[in-house]
Amino acid sequence: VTFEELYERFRTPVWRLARRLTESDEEALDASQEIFLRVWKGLTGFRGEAKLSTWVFQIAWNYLRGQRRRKGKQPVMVSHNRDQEAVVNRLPDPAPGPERTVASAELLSRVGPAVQTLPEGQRVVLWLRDAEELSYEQIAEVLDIPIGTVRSRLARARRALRRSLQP
Amino acid sequence: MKDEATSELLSRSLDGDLTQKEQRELDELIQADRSLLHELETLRELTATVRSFAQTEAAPPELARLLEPLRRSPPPRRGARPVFRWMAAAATIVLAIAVTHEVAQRRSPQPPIASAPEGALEASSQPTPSGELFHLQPLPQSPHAEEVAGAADMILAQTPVAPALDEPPPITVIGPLEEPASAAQSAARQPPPAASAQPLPHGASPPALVHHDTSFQMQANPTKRSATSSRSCVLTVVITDGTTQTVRATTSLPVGHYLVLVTVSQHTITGLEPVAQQRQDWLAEGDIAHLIGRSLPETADGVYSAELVVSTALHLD
Repeated sequence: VTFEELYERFRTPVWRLARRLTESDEEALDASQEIFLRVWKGLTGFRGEAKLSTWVFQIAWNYLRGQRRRKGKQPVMVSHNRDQEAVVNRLPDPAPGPERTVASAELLSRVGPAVQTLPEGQRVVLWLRDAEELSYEQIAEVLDIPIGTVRSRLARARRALRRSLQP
Repeated sequence: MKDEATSELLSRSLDGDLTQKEQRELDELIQADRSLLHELETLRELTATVRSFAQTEAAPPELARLLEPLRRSPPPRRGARPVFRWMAAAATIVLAIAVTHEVAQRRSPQPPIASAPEGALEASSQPTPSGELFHLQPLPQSPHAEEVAGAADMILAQTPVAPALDEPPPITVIGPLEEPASAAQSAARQPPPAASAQPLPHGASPPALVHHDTSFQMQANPTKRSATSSRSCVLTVVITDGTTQTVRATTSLPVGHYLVLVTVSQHTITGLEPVAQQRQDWLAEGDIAHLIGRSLPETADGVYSAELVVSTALHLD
C-alpha cells in the first residue's frame, strides 16, 4: 500500500478522530499532519500483522493521547470551532433510506458538542465504534485495553450521550 | 435507571456482541421491563445519529496541502530489524572462526594421531606369508579422528543464517570527482566503434593512453530520508489607526490563533502577554520569548492587542 492510498483512505477518519480529541479545528489539523507524518515514517515497517485501519488508528491514538497529556502545559487558544457552526449547512440533502431513522438536523448539530463532553476514554471508544465502525477487538488493540473495558466504556458512553442529548 | 450490567447488555446487543445465553438473558429482562425495549431503540437511533454526524465531517483541504511533501516522496526505507542484524553478525563470526580454523589446520603439518607402536616398522627376520620383508601393523586410530577432521567441512556445508534484510542498503554513485570533461575527453571515454578495431599499421605508434581519475564519492543509503515538521508564527500587531505590523518567528506552540498583548517601547517589543484565561508561563514553554527584542519600526510606544497565528509546515531532509 502506498502513502497516497493510505492518505486517501484515512484522511477523513484521522481528521475526525483528531477533531474529537482536540479542542479546535486548528489543533486537529496540526495533529492530523503529525499523525500522517508518523504513518509515512512507519509505512515501510508495516508488515501487515494488524489490519491497516487498526495500525493507522493506533498511531493516531498514541499521538493524540500524548498531546492530551502535554495539553495542560499549553495555553488556551482562540479557536474557530466548526462544531459551533450550523451543521445543518453541511448536511447532505435528506433522502429516504435506511439512514432516515436518524434524527433531525437539529439533533445532529448537538451531537458534536455532546460527544466532546464525554470523558476521553469513553469518547474515543464511542467514536471508533459508532463513527468509524471498528470492531471491539480492533478498538481494544488500538487503545491497548482489554476488550471488557471496551464494552463497559462503550455502554457508559452511549448512556451518557443519550442523557445529554435528551431534550 | 437500569443497572450497569443491563446497560452493557443493551449496548452490546446493538453490535451483535452477545452470546446466545446473554441474548436470552436480555430477552427475559425486556419481557419483564418493556421500557428496556424503548431504551434499546433509543440507543440504536443514537448510534445512527453519531454515524450520520461523522459523515458530515471531512478533512479540510489544508491537510492535503500540508502533506504535499509526503505525498510526493516515497517513505524512508528501513534497514534490517535489530534482531536480524545480530543474527547476521553472529553467523558471520561463526563462519569466520570455522574458516580460520580449517585453513590453519590445513597449513600446519598434521601431528601423528598416535605414535606407532614400538617395533611396528622393524624388519622382520622372517618374510611374511605374503613375501613382504616388513611386518606392518595398522596404526591405532582415534575414535573421534573423523569427527574432528570433518567438523569444519560440516560447518562450511551448512547454510549460514541469512539476514532477513528488506533490501540491501543502496549505494549511489555521485562522482566522479573531476572537472567537467571536454568533448574530446568524453569521446575518448566512449568505447571505440567496431570499425576502428583494426590492427595498427606497421611502424605506427600507439595512441597515448588517456588517464581518467576514477575516484568516486559514494553516499550510502541516500534514500533514508527523514521528515520533520516545524511551526512558524506570525505576530500581527494591530495599530490603533487600523494598520498592522507583523513579525515572523518559529515556535513550538500548537497551530492556532492566540490573542496576546504586546508592549512596544522604542520601536521594539519589550513585553508579550497572553490575554486572560491563558497560562502565564506559556511564553517560555511556547518558545515565544525570542519575539521580545524584535523590532517594530513603525509602531509607537504602547500596549497593543495582537494576534499570534501559528502555522506549520513539513520539511523533508
